Amino acid sequence: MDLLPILEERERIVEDILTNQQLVVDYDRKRNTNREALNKFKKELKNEKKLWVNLGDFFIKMEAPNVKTLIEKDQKNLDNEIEVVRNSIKGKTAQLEKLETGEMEKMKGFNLQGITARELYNITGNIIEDQ
Amino acid sequence: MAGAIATTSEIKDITRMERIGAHSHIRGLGLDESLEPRQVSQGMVGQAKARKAAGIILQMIKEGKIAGRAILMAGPPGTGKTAIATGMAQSLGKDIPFTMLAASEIFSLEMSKTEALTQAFRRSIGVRIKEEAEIIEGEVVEIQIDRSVTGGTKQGKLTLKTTDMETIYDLGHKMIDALNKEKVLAGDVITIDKASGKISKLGRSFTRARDYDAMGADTKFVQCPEGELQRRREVVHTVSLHEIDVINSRTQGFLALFSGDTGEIKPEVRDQINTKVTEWREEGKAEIVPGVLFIDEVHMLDIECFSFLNRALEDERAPVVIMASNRGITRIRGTKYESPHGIPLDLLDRLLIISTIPYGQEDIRQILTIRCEEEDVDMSREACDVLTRIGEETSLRYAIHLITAGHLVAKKRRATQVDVSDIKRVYQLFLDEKRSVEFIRQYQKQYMFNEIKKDDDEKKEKDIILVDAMET
Repeated sequence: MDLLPILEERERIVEDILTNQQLVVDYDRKRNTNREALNKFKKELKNEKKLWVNLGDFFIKMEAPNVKTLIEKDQKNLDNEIEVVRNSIKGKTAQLEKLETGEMEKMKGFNLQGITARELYNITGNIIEDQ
Repeated sequence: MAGAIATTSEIKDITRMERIGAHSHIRGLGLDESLEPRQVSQGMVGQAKARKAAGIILQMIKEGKIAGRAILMAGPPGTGKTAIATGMAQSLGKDIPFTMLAASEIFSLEMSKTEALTQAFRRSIGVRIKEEAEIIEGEVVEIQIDRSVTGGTKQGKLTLKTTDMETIYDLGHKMIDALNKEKVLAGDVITIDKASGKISKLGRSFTRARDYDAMGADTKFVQCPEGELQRRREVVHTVSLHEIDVINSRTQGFLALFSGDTGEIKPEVRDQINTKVTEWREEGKAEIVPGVLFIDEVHMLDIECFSFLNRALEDERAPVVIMASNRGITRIRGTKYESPHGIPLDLLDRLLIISTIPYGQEDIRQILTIRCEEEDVDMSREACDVLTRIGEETSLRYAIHLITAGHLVAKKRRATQVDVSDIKRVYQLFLDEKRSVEFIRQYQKQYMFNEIKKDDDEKKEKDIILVDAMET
């Protein structure tokens, strides 16, 4: 088997993973500033009618309810986007492991649906809550 | 309620002690990639055929193909049956459950035989699950809490950062209480579970290491987290069905695993768990990992256990059962019938049989050398020759026992190397089985209760059955 194409492929995947990780960070940063803005709406900007919104390079004055829906929509988008990117990272990591070791030992089970401790510990429903 | 899934394998890791056991030198089956046995590898010597067979079975186990089958390892004492089983356990890895059981362990007053067997079966079946949690992880930059003079609702702000970003969270009174309870200060690295709001402190950030001149001994320093603040944590566990049983059959939950007091588990609980696990599997939440149950000295099981095994092997959630026996044709326990290996013929029919053969001279020498290394004993070449001869003529186990004994004798005469004289000395001090029998024959008259008549065979047979009946 040729080594070079495999190395090339690996390098490509690694590069992809790193880009995607940075993407998640950027999305999350955006998500957090959005969240802060929404909190502000709730507490301080209740009675404002119009607001200055910073869109990249310039400010626009917009109606407050519009701004709110805009941010909420953006927030939803970001959540979905992050989910997509995370899944792609996971897929790529599995692919990388397969290329490196030929097996899927480490990534085994990561394609399962998540479960919580509560589900596992409380099948019969007899556990008393203790906080 | 615990926030994370704990498994007994993690708990055991803390208490596990390093010590030298009879099979502690074994690290695997010693096979190469094409499953051909290497002469000496991973602590295994000789038994090429049996090892190859075990390797093939192992491969099938890993591919999940032979759940519900059983294997019998038959051979004279000291031919490496348990060693092969240990080797199999080692090469299966952590993920696949391996339970080792001596057949006599199931006879206990606290538990019925079938319960003990059921538990052993369920211990050998793993359920792979993924724990998923959305968490916020970051270093605390600042906590600001506003208290009103009248003592009304508290309000606050928490600033968290990672190396890439920083953000402010508004806090409600519940979160403020939680932060106070955990005694979170600026400079701590914390995680907040998004679903439950549970806060846990990971340690203090390295950059804040010089904030105070003196700190508690248990202060842990960690790096400021990298990347995003809100992240998803995924952990994959393999829990055995038995662990799920225990966790769910007790009101105190998973703490029952620590106390070790499990007792009998109600069949209704097991049924409920079986349905739930099947449900999870259909939903893609869990995978069943059939493991391996090793029953040593299987001729010690009685007829009831064998019929239970027969049925249990047919269950859809059955592990691979490996049995080992050193008996030839002998009485099946609990009956007066004889059968090969003391196993009823109908069960024997279901088994794949691997036989082990006595070791040759070269194998014995290799094993003794490996044991010397394992027990940290330096032995001269001549002494090794003598010991090999002893091993050939008496038994391998006896020769292995002489290693440490010889080492102690050598130590007493302040030598670092065990020599022929030391081996001779311990050979005289400790009798092997043959010489011991010889000795007894010679001096039988002086021992107590020697007047039982040997020729009354029929009566003796009856006695044994009576004793068996009392046991069961």
